[in-house]
Amino acid sequence: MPGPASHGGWRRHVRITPNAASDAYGSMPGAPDWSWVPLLGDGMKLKATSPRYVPPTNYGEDYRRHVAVHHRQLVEGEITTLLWPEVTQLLLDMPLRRVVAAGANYQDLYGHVIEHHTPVDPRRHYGVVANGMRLVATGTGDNDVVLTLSCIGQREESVGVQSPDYSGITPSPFMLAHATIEIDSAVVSDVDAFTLTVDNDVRDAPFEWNNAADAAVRAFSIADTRTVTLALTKLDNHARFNQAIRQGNNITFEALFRHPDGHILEIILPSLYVEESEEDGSPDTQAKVSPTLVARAADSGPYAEIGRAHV
Amino acid sequence: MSNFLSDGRAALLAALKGDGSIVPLVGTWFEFNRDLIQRFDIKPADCTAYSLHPGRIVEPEDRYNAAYDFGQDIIVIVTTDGMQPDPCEELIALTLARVRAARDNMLGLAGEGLKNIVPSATLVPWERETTARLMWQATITIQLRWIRFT
Repeated sequence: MPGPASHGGWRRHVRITPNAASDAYGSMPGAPDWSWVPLLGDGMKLKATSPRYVPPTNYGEDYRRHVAVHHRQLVEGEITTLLWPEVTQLLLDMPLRRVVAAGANYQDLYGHVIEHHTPVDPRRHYGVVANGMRLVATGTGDNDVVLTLSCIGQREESVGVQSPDYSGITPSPFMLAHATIEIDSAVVSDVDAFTLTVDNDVRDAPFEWNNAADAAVRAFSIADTRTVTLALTKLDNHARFNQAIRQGNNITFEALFRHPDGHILEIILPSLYVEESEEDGSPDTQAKVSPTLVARAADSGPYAEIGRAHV
Repeated sequence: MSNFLSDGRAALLAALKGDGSIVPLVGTWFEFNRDLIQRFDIKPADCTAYSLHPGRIVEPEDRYNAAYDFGQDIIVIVTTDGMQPDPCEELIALTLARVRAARDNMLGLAGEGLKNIVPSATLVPWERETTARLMWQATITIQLRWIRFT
């Protein structure tokens, strides 16, 4: 018996609440709207680190390092999960939703407060934004649509224990088998896999002293221009991607997921240009094509370069 | 007392018994319900016999912090009388088609955590010492794949 504090990984839980658009960076929302989010595997890597300031100094008069100052806290890490229907909107909003109302934080990402509850050290992360997202759909039939969020936060603090509640979440997540995929408005049924990557280019920020953290923490968070990339693999049975490379025309992509329990997830990329399209013509298998596409804002319509709707 | 394992098996049986292509081909159903006492001893006179019963539960895999997934095998045994395997193969094909169609709504059990239905089949000739004729027996394993919160 290793002691009362040791625990299995199944006793570690995560909940997330978004900040309001006008909330100050690193603040707690006035009316938190918490959602417990199940993790995939060891999927909670958002955590504080404490790099020391170690100056190259002769202070101390000998060969040992006498000066190592705890002066700042970095909060970074990835969260990996599946698209459980009731939390899909929250999770996709993190890297995709930008403030649209003119005023505070205009066109910036929404901040979040994320709590990581473990039996030994429940903790809260303030000012968390999703610098990036990777949605990998592989169609294996098991964990085949995996979402990874790359998060950056302001600070980490201890917090009181909370008991998780997943009762409102449908156990089975969205899977690739639920999806109807269209390329250029034509339904395709031979997509092996696709990976959707979003990079929000959250810029480095200066640090400022925070009394609550007793350390210097990020002073603010600003997200710059967003890059959206789609990589997919399908049977090589048309020249659409190669023509787009040669002629410079755009491609549209849409994935409509219909969950057996009635939930809907729609991902739309209205204007993609094809950077490259690798072909695999190995003689012992079906020829496949793996294009890499980069999204741009559509010339018209409600979507930026990527739109999603969820019911 | 209802439980999701029994619900899964019952929903699958209902789907198969509700298939208009399968039902006309079946002579005897072995359902293992409480209302009818049947010996599970298939004779030529019972053919084409179609039985459905629980199989193994594949051990849970702890890949989530708050959930676990595992497979529930449901065993369908189809027995046809006669030298040729064609009638047995036909029922295998119809059963597989019905199982694939069931994935559209996951037998109405997606809310309980049913996330996939995966079939496989084995067909073997079956000789009984008490009869001169050969029978064909197909074992169709239909795995209900569940994900459940702990």
